[in-house]
This record gives sequence, C-alpha cells and structure tokens, in this order.
Amino acid sequence: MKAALSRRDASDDTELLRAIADGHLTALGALYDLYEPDVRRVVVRLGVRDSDVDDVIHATFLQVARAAKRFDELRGSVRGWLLGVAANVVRRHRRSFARTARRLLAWANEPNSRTPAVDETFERRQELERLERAIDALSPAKREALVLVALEGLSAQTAAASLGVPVGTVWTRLHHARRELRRAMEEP
Amino acid sequence: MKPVACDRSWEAEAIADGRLSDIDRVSFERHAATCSVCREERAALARLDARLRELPPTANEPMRRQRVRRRLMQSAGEHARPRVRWYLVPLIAALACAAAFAMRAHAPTNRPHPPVTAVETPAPAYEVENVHGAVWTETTLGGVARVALTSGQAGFHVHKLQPGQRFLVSLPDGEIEVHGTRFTVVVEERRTHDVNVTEGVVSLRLRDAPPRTLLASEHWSAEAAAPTTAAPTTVAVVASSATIPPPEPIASQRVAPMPTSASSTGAVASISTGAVASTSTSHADDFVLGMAAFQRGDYAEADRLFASFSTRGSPDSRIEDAAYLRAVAHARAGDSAGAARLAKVYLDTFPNGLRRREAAQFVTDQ
Repeated sequence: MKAALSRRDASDDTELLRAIADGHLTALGALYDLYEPDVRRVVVRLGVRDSDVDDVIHATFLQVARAAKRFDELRGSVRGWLLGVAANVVRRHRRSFARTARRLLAWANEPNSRTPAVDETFERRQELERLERAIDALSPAKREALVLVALEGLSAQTAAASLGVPVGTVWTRLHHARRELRRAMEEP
Repeated sequence: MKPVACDRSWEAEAIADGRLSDIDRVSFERHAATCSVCREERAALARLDARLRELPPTANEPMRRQRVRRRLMQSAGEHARPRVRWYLVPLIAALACAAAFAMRAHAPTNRPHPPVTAVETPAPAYEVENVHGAVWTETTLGGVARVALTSGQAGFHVHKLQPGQRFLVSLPDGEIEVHGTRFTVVVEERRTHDVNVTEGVVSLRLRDAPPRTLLASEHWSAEAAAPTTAAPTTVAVVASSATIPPPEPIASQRVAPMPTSASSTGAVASISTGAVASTSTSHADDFVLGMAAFQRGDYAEADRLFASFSTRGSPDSRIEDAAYLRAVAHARAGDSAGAARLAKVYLDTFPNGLRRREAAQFVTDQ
C-alpha cells in the first residue's frame, strides 16, 4: 500500500487541480476518490454532526472545483490546501442558518457510531472517550489548529495560510489546545 | 508549596513541533538530563500525542461515499463550462487510474469497489445554435455530453453516436436524449414548450408525462399535448437517475387528522399524505416556507408545503429531507400513526437515507 501511495507525488495532485480548473469533471472525481477519507476525517474531528457531514464534504469539493485556479503550489501541498478548504467550509457551516434549523429539527439523539474494539479494555475506552469529550469542548479555533496540525500533520505554515491567520497564531492555539486536553486527561 | 517550574520547559513543545534548530535541540537535551520538570513536560506531551494517535478512525461507508460523489458530479456538472484541452485527456485518464489504484490499496479487501474505466470514450461531436435568446451550459464526462438549456430557443446537431456515447439535453422540467439528430427545443419560464425533430430520433422525458419518442419530421408542443391526468399522489419523487425506483403512490393512505397549532377548540385540519396544490411560485420556496412553518410550530402547514415540494419532482437533494420532515411534523403534532406511515414510505424510498435510523424509530414506536 505504501508503495502505491509513494507513486503519487505533488506534481500528480497539482496536475489534477489544473485539470479541475479547466473544468474536467473526471479530475474532480479522481481527487474526491483520493482525498475523501482525509476530508471526512477532518470534518468529523472538527465536530460536524453526522447528519451534516455529507453536506459539508459535498460543499468542500464543490468549493475546490471553484477555487482550483487559485491554488499556489509554492505555498504547500494539494492535500494541505484541500484540508484548509474543508476547515473553512466547516466554519461557514457552523454559522449557517440552515444548520441551526436542522439542529432544531433533529428528532432523536444520534446513536453513538463508535463501536469499541473487541479487545478494548474498559479503562482504555473511558480514556479515549474522555479525550474525545475534551476535543469537543475546545473552541472552534483551537480545535482547527489541533486537528489540522496535530492530527492531520499539516505544517503550521500550511494551516495558517488555509485559515487566514499568522503562523504564530496557529502555534498559540495549538499550545492552548494541548494544555486543555492535558488538563482534562489528568482530572480524576 | 509552589510547584517547581523551569524557564525552559516551553522548549519541549517547540522541539516536538520542529520549531527549534538542531543546536537548540541538543542544548535542551543536555538541560533535560538534569531537569525533572522539563523531562516530565516532554513525557506528558509524548503521552498526549500517543493518545491522539489512538483516536478511533472515521467509519468507512462505501455507499455513503458513492452517494456524495454522485451528488458532487451532478452539482459540478451543472455549473461547469469546460474549456476542453484534449491533450490533457490521456493524462487525466492516467491520473484517474493511479487514483483508483491507490484507493483500492486503501480499502479493505472484502469491500466492493466501484468500477473504474481505464480508458475513456471520447465525447460525442455536436453543435449548438442560439436560435433565439438561448441560455445553456455544456459539460462532458467521458463519452457523455450534456447541454443544460435554461431558456430560449436552441438548435442542436448531434453527429452519429458511437458505442458508449450519449448526448443529453437537460431541461428545467425533464431531459431529451438524442441518437444522432437535428432538432430544436423551446424553453420558457422553466417549462419545455416545443420540440421539433428534423433528422434522427430523440427521446423526450418530461416530468408528469410519459416518455415519448420523436422521429424525423415530428413535432411536439406543450399546447397540443393531451393534458396529463392528475397523477396518483406520491410522497417523494426522485427523477434524476434511472436506477432509483419510482415512488409508490399512496393516494389511498389518508393520515389521521392532526390538530393545527392555532386551534383552541380542538377542531382539526386533515392532512393528506398526497400531493397538495401549492401556491408557491417555485418548488424551492415550498421547502423554505415549510421549514419556516415547522419552526413556528405550524405542523399542518409544514406538512402541506413539504408534500408539495416533494411532488414537483425536480432533482433536489432536499427531497429526502422533506420526506423525513413530514414524518416529524406528524409526530410533533401527536399523529404517531401518520408519522409511522410516512416514515415507512421514507425508508422504502430512501433505503440508505441519512435519517433511516430516526425514521425506523417512528415505525418501531407505533
């Protein structure tokens, strides 16, 4: 699997984006197939409700199709740029009235979709659930920094460019996020 | 007693983030060898990092991925106006193959994969003529060319189609599929008024009308067409894909009346599960108005508007939302039997719907 992935390099993704900018839908489909799992993971980790995740992913790739012309390969990878687009779409989604209306209309609690592994101990499960709750409790800005840099491995420069903030701001938010998570994990 | 602190403990995080130089890293390591505070800081950061990496992966649902992909390609195609650079086609085909190979390497081996076309069929050759005020967009995807005619009169000349090629004209209220032909189409106020075939054969598929085939020298107009009988009432209509099953008519199912929110004497308004004439000027308004009615607690009105929106039949991803919200409206108004019936229709129409769990709950609760 890693050998297959290593055949892809930055120039392949850049060519895909150029083709998307020229209106080739096949290229957009190819980009979706490659990076949908990453985008879905980021969208979920940024706290989007399960019932809205598909809409946000759809909006992200549509935005990619519109903004493909503006991608600058000197500023980072396609993956980093794409995840930044996803984070911005999540931000807009949080503010949208439609999402507020859907939250009002949710009739039943969404079932917990996380199924514990067979060999997962009770203590480990408790610890991971505590960590997930702590991440949920982070402010949106700190959560973005944590998800993009600490979880997805983007450089702070790439994250900063995507989020439209200075690099120092990303480091500060990440530092505070870590501090809050550590505090939450150390509580009895 | 004041906790022991160290002025250099911040360096542990900076080194983990790659923000310090090699020289600074070596210097910190020498310092940490004699400083328990900095060693503990480094260990705590490592523990947190390890826990973050143990977070469970996002669920892999291939059907859901494909549904979003299909919707994305449809949305992107409606807005695209490509400048075709044919020299890129082999490169895109190669990149698509590489992407499919990498995706296959990612996926679990026991899950099915969508078929991947290694070599694309070229798009059909055609010309579009602006006869009078025509507004349209053109997209191609492999061997399929689609022209979306929004308004006006346009003339089409489609060259003989090769195996695997298709040419479609999207209309506000339907579509035309052609088989190598010349024809003109007139669209006004989002309705198709006239189709005239000069050569070849076209298939005309309009909402609320049976599909028809037009041969050379044949002409169809909305005024001359026999009025369609009032269709059996339906809950939800999905019209964009031939693979989606047609909706079930449920005119015979009348939902128990539910009280209106404004009623103070107990008088009720009956709600039908069928289509209701709407006074909205566009079907999109019905959904928006339905949401507004729902939020103010006027569930009868919300149900009427969602039903009207559903039966207009234009491809809209909110059709599913409307079908589900009708069940919610009935439940909120105390009509659990009606909610259960509508939930069952939702489950039958959208077996992979996003709200299938909630809809199943309505059926179970009844």
